[in-house]
Amino acid sequence: MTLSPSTRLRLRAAVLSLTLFAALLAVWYVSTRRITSDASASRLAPAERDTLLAAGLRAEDLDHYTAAGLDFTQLRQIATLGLTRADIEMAGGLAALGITSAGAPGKKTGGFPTPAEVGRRLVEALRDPFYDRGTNDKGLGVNLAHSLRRVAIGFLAAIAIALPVGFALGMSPLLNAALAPYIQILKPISPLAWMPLALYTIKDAEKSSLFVIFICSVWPMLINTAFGVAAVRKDWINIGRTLELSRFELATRIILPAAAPTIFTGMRIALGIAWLVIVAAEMLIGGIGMGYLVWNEWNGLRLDNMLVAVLAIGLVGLLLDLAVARLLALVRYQE
Amino acid sequence: MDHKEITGPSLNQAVVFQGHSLLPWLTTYQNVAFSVRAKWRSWSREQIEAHVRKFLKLVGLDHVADRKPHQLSGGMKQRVGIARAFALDARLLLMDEPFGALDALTRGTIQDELVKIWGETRKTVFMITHDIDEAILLSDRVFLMTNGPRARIAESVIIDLPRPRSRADIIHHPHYYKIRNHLVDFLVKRSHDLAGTPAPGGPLSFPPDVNPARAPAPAAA
Repeated sequence: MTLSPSTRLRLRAAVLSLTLFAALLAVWYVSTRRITSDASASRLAPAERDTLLAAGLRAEDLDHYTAAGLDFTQLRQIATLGLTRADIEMAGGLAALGITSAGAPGKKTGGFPTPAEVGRRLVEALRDPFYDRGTNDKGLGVNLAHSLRRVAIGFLAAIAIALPVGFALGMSPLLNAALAPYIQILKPISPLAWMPLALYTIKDAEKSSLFVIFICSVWPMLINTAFGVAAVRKDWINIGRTLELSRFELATRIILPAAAPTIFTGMRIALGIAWLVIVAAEMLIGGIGMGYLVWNEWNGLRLDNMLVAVLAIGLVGLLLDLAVARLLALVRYQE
Repeated sequence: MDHKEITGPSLNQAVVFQGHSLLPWLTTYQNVAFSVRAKWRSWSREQIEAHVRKFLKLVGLDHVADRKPHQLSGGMKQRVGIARAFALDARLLLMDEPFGALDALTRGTIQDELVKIWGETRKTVFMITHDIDEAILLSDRVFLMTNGPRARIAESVIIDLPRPRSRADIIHHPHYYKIRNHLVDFLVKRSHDLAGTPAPGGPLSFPPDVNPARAPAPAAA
Protein backbone atom coordinates (compact mmCIF):
# COMPACT_ATOMS: atom_id res chain seq x y z
CA MET A 1 0.00 0.00 0.00
CA THR A 2 1.43 3.33 -0.98
CA LEU A 3 0.23 6.58 0.53
CA SER A 4 1.18 10.11 -0.37
CA PRO A 5 3.40 11.85 2.21
CA SER A 6 0.63 14.27 3.19
CA THR A 7 -1.87 11.44 3.75
CA ARG A 8 0.71 9.56 5.81
CA LEU A 9 1.32 12.64 7.93
CA ARG A 10 -2.40 13.11 8.55
CA LEU A 11 -2.80 9.47 9.41
CA ARG A 12 0.06 9.59 11.90
CA ALA A 13 -1.28 12.81 13.40
CA ALA A 14 -4.70 11.18 13.84
CA VAL A 15 -3.16 8.17 15.59
CA LEU A 16 -1.14 10.45 17.89
CA SER A 17 -4.26 12.52 18.63
CA LEU A 18 -6.28 9.46 19.56
CA THR A 19 -3.43 8.14 21.73
CA LEU A 20 -3.24 11.45 23.60
CA PHE A 21 -7.02 11.38 24.07
CA ALA A 22 -6.89 7.84 25.40
CA ALA A 23 -4.06 8.81 27.77
CA LEU A 24 -6.06 11.80 29.00
CA LEU A 25 -9.10 9.62 29.66
CA ALA A 26 -6.94 7.06 31.44
CA VAL A 27 -5.36 9.65 33.74
CA TRP A 28 -8.75 11.18 34.38
CA TYR A 29 -10.28 7.78 35.12
CA VAL A 30 -7.50 6.65 37.43
CA SER A 31 -7.38 9.88 39.42
CA THR A 32 -11.16 10.14 39.92
CA ARG A 33 -11.73 6.44 40.60
CA ARG A 34 -9.50 6.51 43.69
CA ILE A 35 -11.42 9.38 45.22
CA THR A 36 -14.86 7.90 44.73
CA SER A 37 -13.82 4.51 46.02
CA ASP A 38 -12.24 5.33 49.36
CA ALA A 39 -13.04 8.91 50.20
CA SER A 40 -16.76 9.39 50.18
CA ALA A 41 -19.93 7.31 50.01
CA SER A 42 -20.83 7.01 53.64
CA ARG A 43 -22.81 3.93 54.58
CA LEU A 44 -26.07 4.12 56.42
CA ALA A 45 -27.54 1.38 58.46
CA PRO A 46 -30.98 0.26 57.19
CA ALA A 47 -32.55 1.61 60.38
CA GLU A 48 -30.96 5.05 59.90
CA ARG A 49 -32.18 5.07 56.35
CA ASP A 50 -35.73 4.32 57.41
CA THR A 51 -35.64 7.08 60.03
CA LEU A 52 -34.56 9.63 57.41
CA LEU A 53 -37.18 8.56 54.94
CA ALA A 54 -39.78 8.76 57.64
CA ALA A 55 -38.58 12.28 58.45
CA GLY A 56 -39.55 13.31 54.94
CA LEU A 57 -36.27 13.06 53.00
CA ARG A 58 -36.86 11.86 49.46
CA ALA A 59 -35.22 8.56 48.61
CA GLU A 60 -33.40 9.90 45.53
CA ASP A 61 -32.03 12.86 47.51
CA LEU A 62 -30.94 10.50 50.24
CA ASP A 63 -28.99 8.37 47.77
CA HIS A 64 -27.42 11.43 46.21
CA TYR A 65 -26.20 12.89 49.49
CA THR A 66 -25.00 9.56 50.83
CA ALA A 67 -22.95 9.16 47.70
CA ALA A 68 -21.59 12.68 48.26
CA GLY A 69 -20.37 11.55 51.71
CA LEU A 70 -22.88 13.06 54.15
CA ASP A 71 -23.35 11.19 57.39
CA PHE A 72 -26.51 10.43 59.35
CA THR A 73 -26.49 13.60 61.50
CA GLN A 74 -26.13 15.88 58.55
CA LEU A 75 -28.83 14.06 56.64
CA ARG A 76 -31.15 14.40 59.60
CA GLN A 77 -30.49 18.16 59.59
CA ILE A 78 -31.60 18.35 55.97
CA ALA A 79 -34.64 16.22 56.71
CA THR A 80 -35.59 18.51 59.61
CA LEU A 81 -35.32 21.59 57.36
CA GLY A 82 -37.76 19.85 55.02
CA LEU A 83 -35.76 20.81 51.94
CA THR A 84 -35.53 18.88 48.70
CA ARG A 85 -32.26 18.70 46.76
CA ALA A 86 -33.58 21.18 44.20
CA ASP A 87 -34.36 23.68 47.00
CA ILE A 88 -30.88 23.33 48.45
CA GLU A 89 -29.18 23.86 45.13
CA MET A 90 -31.34 26.87 44.39
CA ALA A 91 -30.20 28.29 47.71
CA GLY A 92 -26.57 27.90 46.69
CA GLY A 93 -25.79 24.30 47.60
CA LEU A 94 -25.02 22.50 50.84
CA ALA A 95 -22.25 24.89 51.83
CA ALA A 96 -24.79 27.71 51.99
CA LEU A 97 -26.69 25.78 54.67
CA GLY A 98 -23.56 25.31 56.73
CA ILE A 99 -23.39 21.62 55.96
CA THR A 100 -20.13 20.23 54.72
CA SER A 101 -19.66 16.63 53.84
CA ALA A 102 -17.61 14.70 56.33
CA GLY A 103 -14.81 13.05 54.50
CA ALA A 104 -11.52 12.25 56.15
CA PRO A 105 -9.47 15.45 56.57
CA GLY A 106 -7.42 16.42 53.52
CA LYS A 107 -9.36 14.13 51.24
CA LYS A 108 -11.59 15.36 48.50
CA THR A 109 -15.13 14.19 48.99
CA GLY A 110 -17.47 15.96 46.60
CA GLY A 111 -15.61 14.06 44.02
CA PHE A 112 -14.44 15.10 40.62
CA PRO A 113 -16.73 13.28 38.19
CA THR A 114 -15.37 10.28 36.35
CA PRO A 115 -15.21 10.23 32.55
CA ALA A 116 -18.16 7.84 32.54
CA GLU A 117 -20.30 10.21 34.61
CA VAL A 118 -19.51 13.14 32.35
CA GLY A 119 -20.18 10.97 29.30
CA ARG A 120 -23.55 9.96 30.71
CA ARG A 121 -24.41 13.61 31.40
CA LEU A 122 -23.38 14.54 27.89
CA VAL A 123 -25.69 11.93 26.40
CA GLU A 124 -28.52 13.13 28.65
CA ALA A 125 -27.93 16.75 27.67
CA LEU A 126 -27.88 15.88 23.99
CA ARG A 127 -30.97 13.70 24.24
CA ASP A 128 -33.09 16.59 25.51
CA PRO A 129 -31.24 19.82 24.80
CA PHE A 130 -34.22 22.17 24.85
CA TYR A 131 -36.04 21.36 28.07
CA ASP A 132 -37.07 24.23 30.31
CA ARG A 133 -37.81 23.55 33.99
CA GLY A 134 -37.74 27.01 35.43
CA THR A 135 -35.22 29.80 35.78
CA ASN A 136 -32.14 27.82 36.75
CA ASP A 137 -32.81 24.59 34.97
CA LYS A 138 -32.79 24.91 31.23
CA GLY A 139 -31.35 22.58 28.59
CA LEU A 140 -27.91 22.91 27.05
CA GLY A 141 -29.46 23.84 23.71
CA VAL A 142 -31.50 26.67 25.23
CA ASN A 143 -28.40 28.15 26.85
CA LEU A 144 -26.34 27.71 23.70
CA ALA A 145 -29.03 29.39 21.62
CA HIS A 146 -29.04 32.44 23.89
CA SER A 147 -25.25 32.77 23.82
CA LEU A 148 -25.20 32.40 20.04
CA ARG A 149 -27.97 34.95 19.67
CA ARG A 150 -26.03 37.51 21.74
CA VAL A 151 -22.85 36.88 19.80
CA ALA A 152 -24.70 37.15 16.49
CA ILE A 153 -26.31 40.49 17.34
CA GLY A 154 -23.15 42.07 18.77
CA PHE A 155 -21.05 40.69 15.94
CA LEU A 156 -23.38 41.91 13.16
CA ALA A 157 -23.49 45.36 14.76
CA ALA A 158 -19.68 45.34 14.79
CA ILE A 159 -19.59 44.43 11.09
CA ALA A 160 -22.01 47.25 10.31
CA ILE A 161 -19.66 49.76 11.94
CA ALA A 162 -16.23 48.24 11.25
CA LEU A 163 -16.62 47.72 7.50
CA PRO A 164 -17.50 51.30 6.44
CA VAL A 165 -15.19 52.92 8.99
CA GLY A 166 -12.40 50.51 8.09
CA PHE A 167 -12.89 51.34 4.41
CA ALA A 168 -12.67 55.06 5.18
CA LEU A 169 -9.51 54.55 7.24
CA GLY A 170 -7.94 52.39 4.56
CA MET A 171 -8.65 54.86 1.77
CA SER A 172 -7.64 57.98 3.68
CA PRO A 173 -4.14 58.06 5.19
CA LEU A 174 -5.17 61.26 6.99
CA LEU A 175 -8.09 59.63 8.82
CA ASN A 176 -6.01 56.57 9.50
CA ALA A 177 -3.25 58.55 11.18
CA ALA A 178 -5.73 60.75 13.06
CA LEU A 179 -7.72 57.85 14.53
CA ALA A 180 -4.79 55.50 15.13
CA PRO A 181 -4.10 56.70 18.72
CA TYR A 182 -7.74 56.15 19.75
CA ILE A 183 -7.82 52.68 18.27
CA GLN A 184 -4.47 51.79 19.83
CA ILE A 185 -5.66 52.86 23.28
CA LEU A 186 -9.18 51.42 23.11
CA LYS A 187 -8.18 48.12 21.54
CA PRO A 188 -6.21 46.63 24.46
CA ILE A 189 -8.96 47.34 27.01
CA SER A 190 -10.51 44.09 28.16
CA PRO A 191 -14.06 43.99 26.84
CA LEU A 192 -15.30 43.15 30.34
CA ALA A 193 -13.83 46.39 31.64
CA TRP A 194 -16.56 48.10 29.62
CA MET A 195 -19.23 46.16 31.48
CA PRO A 196 -19.74 48.55 34.44
CA LEU A 197 -19.83 51.53 32.11
CA ALA A 198 -22.32 49.76 29.88
CA LEU A 199 -24.49 48.74 32.81
CA TYR A 200 -24.48 52.32 34.12
CA THR A 201 -25.31 53.99 30.81
CA ILE A 202 -27.56 51.38 29.20
CA LYS A 203 -29.15 50.22 32.49
CA ASP A 204 -29.94 46.82 31.01
CA ALA A 205 -27.91 43.66 31.54
CA GLU A 206 -28.96 42.06 28.27
CA LYS A 207 -28.09 45.09 26.14
CA SER A 208 -24.85 45.56 28.06
CA SER A 209 -23.77 42.05 27.11
CA LEU A 210 -24.53 42.84 23.47
CA PHE A 211 -22.43 45.98 23.76
CA VAL A 212 -19.52 44.04 25.22
CA ILE A 213 -19.65 41.62 22.28
CA PHE A 214 -19.83 44.55 19.89
CA ILE A 215 -16.85 46.34 21.42
CA CYS A 216 -14.63 43.25 21.50
CA SER A 217 -15.29 42.24 17.89
CA VAL A 218 -15.13 45.71 16.38
CA TRP A 219 -11.35 46.26 16.75
CA PRO A 220 -9.95 43.26 14.87
CA MET A 221 -12.40 43.86 12.03
CA LEU A 222 -11.72 47.59 11.92
CA ILE A 223 -7.96 47.16 11.88
CA ASN A 224 -7.97 44.35 9.34
CA THR A 225 -10.39 46.14 7.02
CA ALA A 226 -8.32 49.34 7.13
CA PHE A 227 -5.13 47.39 6.51
CA GLY A 228 -6.63 45.29 3.72
CA VAL A 229 -8.03 48.31 1.93
CA ALA A 230 -4.81 50.31 2.27
CA ALA A 231 -2.73 47.41 0.98
CA VAL A 232 -4.64 46.92 -2.29
CA ARG A 233 -2.08 46.90 -5.10
CA LYS A 234 -1.76 50.18 -6.98
CA ASP A 235 -1.90 48.28 -10.30
CA TRP A 236 -5.43 47.07 -9.58
CA ILE A 237 -6.60 50.55 -8.69
CA ASN A 238 -5.03 51.79 -11.92
CA ILE A 239 -7.08 49.28 -13.89
CA GLY A 240 -10.18 50.85 -12.37
CA ARG A 241 -8.92 54.33 -13.24
CA THR A 242 -8.28 53.51 -16.90
CA LEU A 243 -11.78 52.01 -17.10
CA GLU A 244 -13.27 55.23 -15.68
CA LEU A 245 -15.00 53.38 -12.84
CA SER A 246 -16.89 55.55 -10.35
CA ARG A 247 -15.59 55.72 -6.78
CA PHE A 248 -18.38 53.38 -5.68
CA GLU A 249 -17.56 50.86 -8.41
CA LEU A 250 -13.87 51.09 -7.58
CA ALA A 251 -14.69 50.30 -3.94
CA THR A 252 -17.09 47.42 -4.62
CA ARG A 253 -15.61 45.85 -7.76
CA ILE A 254 -11.89 46.16 -7.09
CA ILE A 255 -11.03 47.17 -3.51
CA LEU A 256 -13.61 44.94 -1.80
CA PRO A 257 -12.65 41.68 -3.53
CA ALA A 258 -8.96 42.57 -3.22
CA ALA A 259 -9.24 43.22 0.52
CA ALA A 260 -11.81 40.48 1.22
CA PRO A 261 -9.36 37.84 2.49
CA THR A 262 -7.89 40.30 5.01
CA ILE A 263 -11.36 41.48 6.05
CA PHE A 264 -12.58 37.91 6.57
CA THR A 265 -9.47 37.08 8.57
CA GLY A 266 -10.38 40.01 10.83
CA MET A 267 -13.90 38.57 11.16
CA ARG A 268 -12.48 35.20 12.07
CA ILE A 269 -10.35 36.69 14.83
CA ALA A 270 -13.27 38.83 16.03
CA LEU A 271 -15.69 35.90 16.20
CA GLY A 272 -13.16 33.87 18.20
CA ILE A 273 -12.79 36.70 20.71
CA ALA A 274 -16.56 37.26 20.87
CA TRP A 275 -17.11 33.61 21.77
CA LEU A 276 -14.49 33.86 24.52
CA VAL A 277 -16.02 37.03 25.89
CA ILE A 278 -19.69 36.01 25.87
CA VAL A 279 -19.01 33.24 28.43
CA ALA A 280 -17.33 35.67 30.81
CA ALA A 281 -20.00 38.33 30.22
CA GLU A 282 -22.80 35.87 30.97
CA MET A 283 -21.15 34.91 34.23
CA LEU A 284 -21.49 38.57 35.19
CA ILE A 285 -24.98 39.31 33.94
CA GLY A 286 -26.51 35.97 34.88
CA GLY A 287 -29.91 34.79 33.76
CA ILE A 288 -29.20 32.48 30.88
CA GLY A 289 -26.47 31.49 28.45
CA MET A 290 -23.43 29.22 28.47
CA GLY A 291 -21.44 31.42 30.84
CA TYR A 292 -24.29 31.47 33.32
CA LEU A 293 -24.79 27.72 32.91
CA VAL A 294 -21.15 27.03 33.81
CA TRP A 295 -21.33 29.34 36.81
CA ASN A 296 -24.65 27.95 37.98
CA GLU A 297 -23.48 24.35 37.79
CA TRP A 298 -20.36 25.31 39.68
CA ASN A 299 -22.42 26.94 42.42
CA GLY A 300 -24.49 23.78 42.71
CA LEU A 301 -21.26 21.75 42.67
CA ARG A 302 -22.58 19.76 39.73
CA LEU A 303 -19.16 19.39 38.21
CA ASP A 304 -20.30 16.79 35.70
CA ASN A 305 -22.85 19.20 34.21
CA MET A 306 -20.29 21.96 34.31
CA LEU A 307 -17.79 19.89 32.35
CA VAL A 308 -20.43 19.10 29.74
CA ALA A 309 -21.09 22.84 29.38
CA VAL A 310 -17.36 23.59 29.07
CA LEU A 311 -17.00 20.92 26.42
CA ALA A 312 -19.98 22.32 24.51
CA ILE A 313 -18.43 25.81 24.58
CA GLY A 314 -15.28 24.42 23.02
CA LEU A 315 -17.10 22.46 20.33
CA VAL A 316 -19.36 25.35 19.33
CA GLY A 317 -16.33 27.68 19.20
CA LEU A 318 -14.66 25.23 16.84
CA LEU A 319 -17.74 25.07 14.60
CA LEU A 320 -17.97 28.87 14.46
CA ASP A 321 -14.34 29.10 13.44
CA LEU A 322 -14.77 26.44 10.76
CA ALA A 323 -17.78 28.30 9.36
CA VAL A 324 -15.83 31.54 8.93
CA ALA A 325 -12.85 29.62 7.56
CA ARG A 326 -15.18 28.21 4.90
CA LEU A 327 -16.27 31.74 3.93
CA LEU A 328 -12.65 32.86 3.92
CA ALA A 329 -11.73 30.09 1.48
CA LEU A 330 -14.41 31.38 -0.89
CA VAL A 331 -12.94 34.88 -1.15
CA ARG A 332 -9.27 33.94 -0.96
CA TYR A 333 -7.20 34.32 -4.10
CA GLN A 334 -3.67 33.50 -5.10
CA GLU A 335 -1.44 36.08 -6.73
CA MET B 1 -4.65 62.54 -30.09
CA ASP B 2 -7.05 64.06 -32.62
CA HIS B 3 -5.22 67.34 -31.92
CA LYS B 4 -6.25 67.16 -28.27
CA GLU B 5 -4.00 66.80 -25.27
CA ILE B 6 -4.39 63.58 -23.26
CA THR B 7 -4.54 64.63 -19.62
CA GLY B 8 -5.35 61.45 -17.73
CA PRO B 9 -6.45 57.84 -17.86
CA SER B 10 -9.69 57.21 -19.72
CA LEU B 11 -11.50 54.66 -21.83
CA ASN B 12 -10.15 56.34 -24.97
CA GLN B 13 -6.77 54.78 -24.31
CA ALA B 14 -6.29 51.16 -23.40
CA VAL B 15 -3.25 50.33 -21.31
CA VAL B 16 -1.08 47.21 -21.15
CA PHE B 17 0.82 47.47 -17.88
CA GLN B 18 4.39 46.54 -17.13
CA GLY B 19 3.37 43.79 -14.73
CA HIS B 20 0.47 41.83 -16.12
CA SER B 21 -1.94 43.56 -13.69
CA LEU B 22 -4.70 41.01 -13.97
CA LEU B 23 -7.20 40.85 -11.12
CA PRO B 24 -6.18 37.60 -9.38
CA TRP B 25 -9.65 36.74 -8.07
CA LEU B 26 -11.15 36.73 -11.58
CA THR B 27 -10.67 34.13 -14.30
CA THR B 28 -9.09 34.93 -17.65
CA TYR B 29 -12.54 35.38 -19.16
CA GLN B 30 -13.78 37.54 -16.28
CA ASN B 31 -10.69 39.75 -16.45
CA VAL B 32 -11.38 40.64 -20.07
CA ALA B 33 -15.14 40.85 -19.49
CA PHE B 34 -14.56 43.22 -16.57
CA SER B 35 -13.14 45.84 -18.94
CA VAL B 36 -15.65 45.18 -21.70
CA ARG B 37 -18.55 45.62 -19.27
CA ALA B 38 -17.06 48.88 -17.97
CA LYS B 39 -16.90 50.29 -21.48
CA TRP B 40 -20.20 49.12 -22.95
CA ARG B 41 -22.54 49.29 -19.99
CA SER B 42 -25.74 48.57 -21.91
CA TRP B 43 -24.46 45.39 -23.52
CA SER B 44 -26.25 42.11 -22.87
CA ARG B 45 -24.47 39.08 -21.43
CA GLU B 46 -24.39 37.48 -24.89
CA GLN B 47 -22.86 40.54 -26.54
CA ILE B 48 -20.15 40.67 -23.91
CA GLU B 49 -19.49 36.95 -24.18
CA ALA B 50 -19.12 37.11 -27.98
CA HIS B 51 -16.77 40.10 -27.76
CA VAL B 52 -14.59 38.58 -25.04
CA ARG B 53 -14.35 35.20 -26.80
CA LYS B 54 -13.29 36.92 -30.03
CA PHE B 55 -10.32 38.62 -28.40
CA LEU B 56 -9.34 35.58 -26.32
CA LYS B 57 -9.22 33.61 -29.58
CA LEU B 58 -7.14 36.37 -31.13
CA VAL B 59 -4.40 35.84 -28.52
CA GLY B 60 -4.95 32.07 -28.57
CA LEU B 61 -6.16 31.77 -24.99
CA ASP B 62 -9.74 30.63 -25.47
CA HIS B 63 -8.90 27.26 -23.91
CA VAL B 64 -7.78 28.78 -20.58
CA ALA B 65 -10.76 31.13 -20.22
CA ASP B 66 -11.77 29.62 -16.89
CA ARG B 67 -8.34 29.59 -15.26
CA LYS B 68 -7.25 32.10 -12.66
CA PRO B 69 -4.12 34.18 -13.38
CA HIS B 70 -1.93 32.21 -10.97
CA GLN B 71 -2.58 29.11 -13.09
CA LEU B 72 -1.17 30.82 -16.20
CA SER B 73 2.43 31.23 -17.33
CA GLY B 74 3.99 34.71 -17.49
CA GLY B 75 3.56 34.87 -21.26
CA MET B 76 -0.09 33.83 -21.05
CA LYS B 77 -0.80 36.47 -18.42
CA GLN B 78 0.70 39.16 -20.61
CA ARG B 79 -1.38 37.92 -23.55
CA VAL B 80 -4.52 38.20 -21.41
CA GLY B 81 -3.46 41.78 -20.67
CA ILE B 82 -3.09 42.41 -24.41
CA ALA B 83 -6.49 40.83 -25.15
CA ARG B 84 -8.02 42.99 -22.46
CA ALA B 85 -6.50 46.14 -23.94
CA PHE B 86 -7.48 45.35 -27.54
CA ALA B 87 -10.99 44.30 -26.49
CA LEU B 88 -11.61 47.86 -25.28
CA ASP B 89 -11.45 48.91 -28.95
CA ALA B 90 -9.74 52.16 -27.94
CA ARG B 91 -8.21 54.45 -30.57
CA LEU B 92 -4.86 54.41 -28.82
CA LEU B 93 -3.09 51.59 -27.03
CA LEU B 94 -0.42 52.40 -24.46
CA MET B 95 2.05 49.64 -23.65
CA ASP B 96 4.54 50.21 -20.86
CA GLU B 97 7.38 47.73 -21.36
CA PRO B 98 4.83 44.96 -21.75
CA PHE B 99 7.32 42.17 -22.47
CA GLY B 100 10.05 43.22 -20.04
CA ALA B 101 9.51 40.31 -17.67
CA LEU B 102 9.34 37.57 -20.31
CA ASP B 103 12.07 35.25 -21.55
CA ALA B 104 13.42 35.84 -25.07
CA LEU B 105 11.54 32.94 -26.68
CA THR B 106 8.11 33.86 -25.29
CA ARG B 107 8.84 37.45 -26.07
CA GLY B 108 9.35 36.66 -29.74
CA THR B 109 6.09 34.72 -29.97
CA ILE B 110 4.08 37.48 -28.33
CA GLN B 111 5.69 40.15 -30.50
CA ASP B 112 4.53 38.21 -33.57
CA GLU B 113 1.05 37.95 -32.07
CA LEU B 114 0.97 41.64 -31.30
CA VAL B 115 1.83 42.46 -34.93
CA LYS B 116 -0.89 40.08 -36.10
CA ILE B 117 -3.58 41.63 -33.85
CA TRP B 118 -2.38 45.09 -34.75
CA GLY B 119 -2.70 44.17 -38.42
CA GLU B 120 -6.29 43.05 -37.89
CA THR B 121 -7.41 45.99 -35.78
CA ARG B 122 -5.19 48.83 -37.09
CA LYS B 123 -5.07 50.75 -33.81
CA THR B 124 -2.40 53.27 -32.92
CA VAL B 125 -0.05 51.56 -30.51
CA PHE B 126 2.35 53.53 -28.35
CA MET B 127 4.89 51.27 -26.72
CA ILE B 128 7.68 52.02 -24.29
CA THR B 129 10.63 49.66 -24.58
CA HIS B 130 14.35 49.35 -23.91
CA ASP B 131 14.79 46.67 -26.51
CA ILE B 132 16.19 48.11 -29.76
CA ASP B 133 15.42 45.06 -31.90
CA GLU B 134 11.88 44.99 -30.59
CA ALA B 135 11.48 48.66 -31.49
CA ILE B 136 12.73 48.14 -35.05
CA LEU B 137 10.67 45.01 -35.59
CA LEU B 138 7.40 46.48 -34.41
CA SER B 139 7.35 50.18 -35.05
CA ASP B 140 6.87 52.73 -37.81
CA ARG B 141 8.48 55.44 -35.76
CA VAL B 142 10.80 55.45 -32.75
CA PHE B 143 10.89 58.40 -30.38
CA LEU B 144 14.23 58.62 -28.66
CA MET B 145 14.36 60.07 -25.17
CA THR B 146 17.35 61.74 -23.58
CA ASN B 147 18.55 60.83 -20.12
CA GLY B 148 17.06 62.64 -17.14
CA PRO B 149 16.84 65.04 -15.41
CA ARG B 150 14.33 66.88 -17.58
CA ALA B 151 14.28 64.12 -20.14
CA ARG B 152 12.80 65.07 -23.48
CA ILE B 153 12.17 63.47 -26.86
CA ALA B 154 15.16 64.30 -28.95
CA GLU B 155 14.36 62.60 -32.24
CA SER B 156 11.61 60.87 -34.12
CA VAL B 157 13.26 58.09 -36.11
CA ILE B 158 11.30 56.78 -39.08
CA ILE B 159 11.47 53.02 -39.60
CA ASP B 160 10.38 52.35 -43.19
CA LEU B 161 11.32 48.70 -43.50
CA PRO B 162 8.67 46.93 -45.61
CA ARG B 163 5.86 45.04 -43.87
CA PRO B 164 5.08 42.31 -43.10
CA ARG B 165 8.34 41.98 -41.22
CA SER B 166 9.65 38.80 -39.69
CA ARG B 167 12.41 38.50 -37.16
CA ALA B 168 14.34 36.11 -39.35
CA ASP B 169 14.30 38.19 -42.56
CA ILE B 170 14.43 41.71 -41.20
CA ILE B 171 18.07 41.48 -40.13
CA HIS B 172 19.13 40.85 -43.73
CA HIS B 173 17.49 44.00 -44.99
CA PRO B 174 20.18 46.51 -46.12
CA HIS B 175 18.67 49.29 -43.97
CA TYR B 176 18.38 47.25 -40.78
CA TYR B 177 21.87 47.88 -39.42
CA LYS B 178 21.87 51.51 -40.47
CA ILE B 179 18.82 52.04 -38.30
CA ARG B 180 20.08 49.85 -35.50
CA ASN B 181 23.47 51.58 -35.40
CA HIS B 182 21.77 54.94 -35.26
CA LEU B 183 19.62 53.88 -32.32
CA VAL B 184 22.50 52.25 -30.43
CA ASP B 185 24.67 55.28 -31.02
CA PHE B 186 21.96 57.46 -29.57
CA LEU B 187 21.41 55.31 -26.50
CA VAL B 188 25.08 54.82 -25.72
CA LYS B 189 26.40 58.30 -26.43
CA ARG B 190 24.04 61.07 -27.40
CA SER B 191 21.22 60.47 -24.92
CA HIS B 192 23.81 61.18 -22.25
CA ASP B 193 25.30 64.23 -24.00
CA LEU B 194 21.87 65.73 -24.65
CA ALA B 195 20.65 65.26 -21.07
CA GLY B 196 19.37 68.52 -19.63
CA THR B 197 19.79 70.49 -22.84
CA PRO B 198 16.71 72.38 -24.02
CA ALA B 199 14.92 71.33 -27.20
CA PRO B 200 16.26 73.37 -30.15
CA GLY B 201 12.80 74.50 -31.26
CA GLY B 202 11.46 75.35 -27.79
CA PRO B 203 9.76 73.09 -25.23
CA LEU B 204 6.58 72.45 -27.26
CA SER B 205 8.16 71.80 -30.64
CA PHE B 206 7.78 68.45 -32.40
CA PRO B 207 11.07 66.50 -32.45
CA PRO B 208 12.87 66.45 -35.82
CA ASP B 209 12.21 63.50 -38.14
CA VAL B 210 15.26 61.40 -38.88
CA ASN B 211 15.56 58.57 -41.39
CA PRO B 212 18.91 56.85 -40.91
CA ALA B 213 18.34 54.63 -43.94
CA ARG B 214 18.15 57.53 -46.45
CA ALA B 215 20.33 60.35 -45.22
CA PRO B 216 23.48 60.04 -43.15
CA ALA B 217 22.56 60.56 -39.51
CA PRO B 218 23.76 63.79 -37.92
CA ALA B 219 25.82 61.94 -35.36
CA ALA B 220 27.60 59.89 -38.02
CA ALA B 221 28.66 63.02 -39.89
